[in-house]
Amino acid sequence: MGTESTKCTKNSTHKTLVRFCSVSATRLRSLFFVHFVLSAPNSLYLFYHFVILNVMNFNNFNPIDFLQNFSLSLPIGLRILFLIICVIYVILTVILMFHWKRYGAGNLKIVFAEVVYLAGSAIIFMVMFSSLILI
Amino acid sequence: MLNLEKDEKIILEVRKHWFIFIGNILGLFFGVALPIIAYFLALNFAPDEVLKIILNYKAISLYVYSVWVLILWVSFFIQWTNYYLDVWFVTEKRIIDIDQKGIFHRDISNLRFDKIQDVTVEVNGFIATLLNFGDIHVQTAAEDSSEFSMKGAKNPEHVKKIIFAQHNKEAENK
Repeated sequence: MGTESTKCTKNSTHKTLVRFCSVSATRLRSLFFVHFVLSAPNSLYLFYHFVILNVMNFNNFNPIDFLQNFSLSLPIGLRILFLIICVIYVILTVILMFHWKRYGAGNLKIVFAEVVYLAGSAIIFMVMFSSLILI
Repeated sequence: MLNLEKDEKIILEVRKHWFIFIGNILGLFFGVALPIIAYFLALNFAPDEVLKIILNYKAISLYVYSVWVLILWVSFFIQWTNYYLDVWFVTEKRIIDIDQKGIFHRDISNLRFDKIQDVTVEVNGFIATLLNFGDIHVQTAAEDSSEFSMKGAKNPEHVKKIIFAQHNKEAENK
């Protein structure tokens, strides 16, 4: 009997705790929502103040400084672009080579075109790569 | 890939004139030259602030330009492939017309000499007359009376002569 009553009280406290938690969670959510709605203009103003006035220093905006700061994150993007270009180039080269081999029938002009194409591409890639290192 | 019969030999390869090809790739040459022209114009005429930015970003400019040149370089070879693989093979028995319309679009058709009704050559304009290129139309005796044609073919009169000669030879053999 005694053990049953303690079990009951344990269950009821557990249920009230869960109810309390859920109620407080919904209350908290609604409170956050109200707070967010009420404070949105203020936050926007703060965001504007922080980004436009502090980061970009709009009152004293200098495009060269801005571009120099911006360029810090540029090399990573350019390296990714370089990789993408390499992949596209390889695909297109395979397509061209396929056409030249299949329909060119070992023609000397086709062989010459292949050599010129690959040599020219190598030079362009060397320039691209060296400029990427210099950035 | 060209599938010739055992005793078949190619007499003539007919392609479009190089002038037609140059006309197709003229835009690419402008594309290569334009940034260089713009760069030199900017060096001479741009305000100091813009000039500073340009000089600060020489490496990036070179990178972007080389990407641009690579695009044009590959486009040039795609154009050249379309030009070079668009060809007529005149053999002892037939004309094989390979129509390379794009890198993934290729039509191949054959025309036996006994099916040929007429060959017309059209040279139109000062440059075409000077450089000796024009359109060749070969009319067939097929039911749908379809026409083989190549625009801007090199030396069209010579091509016509050879087609007629082969046509006559075929008629004599029969």
